Amino acid sequence: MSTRELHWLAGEEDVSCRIDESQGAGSFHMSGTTLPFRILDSSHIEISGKRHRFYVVHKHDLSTVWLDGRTYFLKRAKRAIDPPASEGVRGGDVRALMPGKLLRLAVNVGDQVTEKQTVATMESMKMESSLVAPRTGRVSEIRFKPGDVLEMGAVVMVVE
Amino acid sequence: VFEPPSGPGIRLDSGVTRGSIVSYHFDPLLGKLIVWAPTRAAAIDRMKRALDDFVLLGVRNNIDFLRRVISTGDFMNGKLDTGFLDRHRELFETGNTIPAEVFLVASVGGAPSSNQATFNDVWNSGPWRNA
Repeated sequence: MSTRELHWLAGEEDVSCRIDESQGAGSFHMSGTTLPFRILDSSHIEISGKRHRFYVVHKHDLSTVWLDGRTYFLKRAKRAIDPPASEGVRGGDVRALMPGKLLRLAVNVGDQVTEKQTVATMESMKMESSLVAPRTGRVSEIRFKPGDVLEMGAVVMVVE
Repeated sequence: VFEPPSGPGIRLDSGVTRGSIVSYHFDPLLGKLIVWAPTRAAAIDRMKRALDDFVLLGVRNNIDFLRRVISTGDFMNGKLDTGFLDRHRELFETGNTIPAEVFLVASVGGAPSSNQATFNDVWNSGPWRNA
């Protein structure tokens, strides 16, 4: 029998759970609830006597769980460390709204910009879209150049 | 992971398979799920089951959203027009409660274990690592 403690982030919520397991069967404890489980095969599990179909994909600290037709996204929290509150979307970040290619920059580092001013143009799915300044300020940093391929959410530049 | 539904009256037109890369070059349309049944109600039922059986992980997709759309009364009654989504803003709410079973499955399928090979973790298990 082995015992493991795991911490997950689900949206804003911090969830701790404990698993006692041996040979693919055991019990799961979370916020006062205990669920007995037994792994049946690679994609089926019995939980509290009920059979479920499941798939799990882990990439970095993100886990995607497919359970009985619904998809859920969880984040693995670092053990015993509270997630840094400041991490995530900062107010002055200009981010790519879709994956795509950066076509043009309309500003340089040091330029003064006003809120909603177009600061860059990108292309995805054969369509152009404009990235706008999230606030009035000065461009403090530009992280990509025209031609670069951006992932969704990539920070293109920072306005301070 | 790509395990599309199949069965009588269910058809999928799709150009992707497990391992496909979805790039920004084309519309991010992964496939068209088509069902047939003698009546509209039966077809919607069959579509709900087909969506429930559709396993697609690795890319964000709208399967859950489509299930919510076809579950509305207006969709059942064929009251559809271009204003449909504007009248049904609630469809964009995903509902935040995650059942404990989900955490269980994520935890069991995630951490190192004596019989890891039985878990469906495409990143960490499989013969290419264990060999």
